[in-house]
Amino acid sequence: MQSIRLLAAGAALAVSALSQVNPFVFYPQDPERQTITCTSFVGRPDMSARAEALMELNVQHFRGIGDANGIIRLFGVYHWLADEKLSTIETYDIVVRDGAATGGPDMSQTAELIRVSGLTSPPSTNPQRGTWLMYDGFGLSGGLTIFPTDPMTLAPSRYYVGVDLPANPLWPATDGHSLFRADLLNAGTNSVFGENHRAGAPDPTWAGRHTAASFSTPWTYILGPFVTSPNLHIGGLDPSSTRLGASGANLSMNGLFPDISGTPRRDGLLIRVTDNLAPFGIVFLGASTGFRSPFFLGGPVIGMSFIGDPIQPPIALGFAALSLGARDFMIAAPNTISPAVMGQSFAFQAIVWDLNTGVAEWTNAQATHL
Amino acid sequence: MSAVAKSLIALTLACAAAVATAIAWPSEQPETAPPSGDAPAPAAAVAAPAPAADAVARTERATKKDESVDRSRELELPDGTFVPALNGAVGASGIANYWGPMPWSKIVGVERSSAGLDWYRHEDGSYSTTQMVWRKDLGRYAAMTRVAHPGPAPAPVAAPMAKR
Repeated sequence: MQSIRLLAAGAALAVSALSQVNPFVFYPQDPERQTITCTSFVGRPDMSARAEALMELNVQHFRGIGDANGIIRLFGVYHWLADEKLSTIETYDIVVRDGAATGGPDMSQTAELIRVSGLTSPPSTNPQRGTWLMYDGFGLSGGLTIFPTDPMTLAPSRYYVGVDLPANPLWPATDGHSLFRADLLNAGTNSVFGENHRAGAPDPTWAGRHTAASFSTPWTYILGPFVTSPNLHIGGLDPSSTRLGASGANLSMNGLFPDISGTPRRDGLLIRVTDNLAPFGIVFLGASTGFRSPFFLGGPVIGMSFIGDPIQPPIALGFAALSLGARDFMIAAPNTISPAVMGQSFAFQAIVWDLNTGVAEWTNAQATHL
Repeated sequence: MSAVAKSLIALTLACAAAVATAIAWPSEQPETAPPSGDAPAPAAAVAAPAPAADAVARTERATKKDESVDRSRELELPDGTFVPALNGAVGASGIANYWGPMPWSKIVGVERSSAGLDWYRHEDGSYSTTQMVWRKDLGRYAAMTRVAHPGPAPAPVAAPMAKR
């Protein structure tokens, strides 16, 4: 049986019963495989008003998310739906939209790459608050295709994936839909748990508004697009922090913006590679000093390298097998990265080789800004 | 060039060679197999008697019959069986694609929500459904496959925050 990756890459339309998708979520913990202890609150982008909860995917930080040999293919949207009253269904849209030239999301209708309207939560007789883990799939034959606008990045400079929440005056008193979020240190919400980045990091999400100016929001959501490519996240290790609510690495803002200043933090780094399609595949991990021009290795390796080519090969960091769809690679223990490299950026990317099909695929590439 | 840099390059080349060799192996295997006269036959093939002509014909008819079944209004389950797609969906993706890494849980009923949408209820409390949605990007209606798993209790609600 052909791998769904080949099908996706070739834009073929057949359905594989055994294949799955990966949600690309930017959150301190892996919501599909780890117990979530880092959530600050459940919240909406603009309280009870209508707004889109949007995660920003920026080529300064990420390349090759959902890469199908140079085009982006998204197969749905994943999010955790918190409901203050499960017995009344919630209605929402899912949306993917382009960025505005001036920064933030372009909220015009023409900037909507996809909008699926009027989705609802499942039935329930439970009048209490609760959570649904929503897998809203476009279907493997109905993926959203985003064509590259820049040959160097193979993606729009920024695009936004999210959930459009209608106005709900009942929220949060008696009812309403919100999302799990991890607040930045500078959110001003006195959160005990949440993100743990260095000072000055930009907001990673937005409140997209239709009748007023949008604004950035200082938190991450359990939210993201479904892709068929494997995922790579950089985790930050700060032993002085308890904001994760558990041991381990912060897989979102701490990995993207670690604090290695030595005043006093000197965070460590690890890489986490995840894949539902080849949960016991072999991972080959590499890195480079910043992103490189896309390079197509060809053959059975789907996707593009953003960390080098034969002229400037990537730095090989080793290989290991996935276990139940995940593998962590320790890159640097805390207190080992010299403050002298502050200001530099490194990019990481991996290949996951599916032993069952013989097909291999590049993960997304991610930067860490030291 | 430093010894560290040399070793990294060597490791890169080793990894690349390992990837190239290992990845290419499965697809090249048939080409590198010896001619049929030299290759040992799989045990099952040796043991199995040659099928009678009518048995082959029956098998072929069954296969053709299965392939001719229109599954476009059905939803494929992880075990390869099918149930009717809900809410008039046509061409819905198999549920395994959107089930996530959780163990499969069998369908125990159908419930209609107050929105008039039918959902399959699963033994573990999950729900799944299919529905047609308008896709502006495709210029047509297309099927969605949707799964909702019960999750943990929500965190506390965030207090209002001054907009920045």
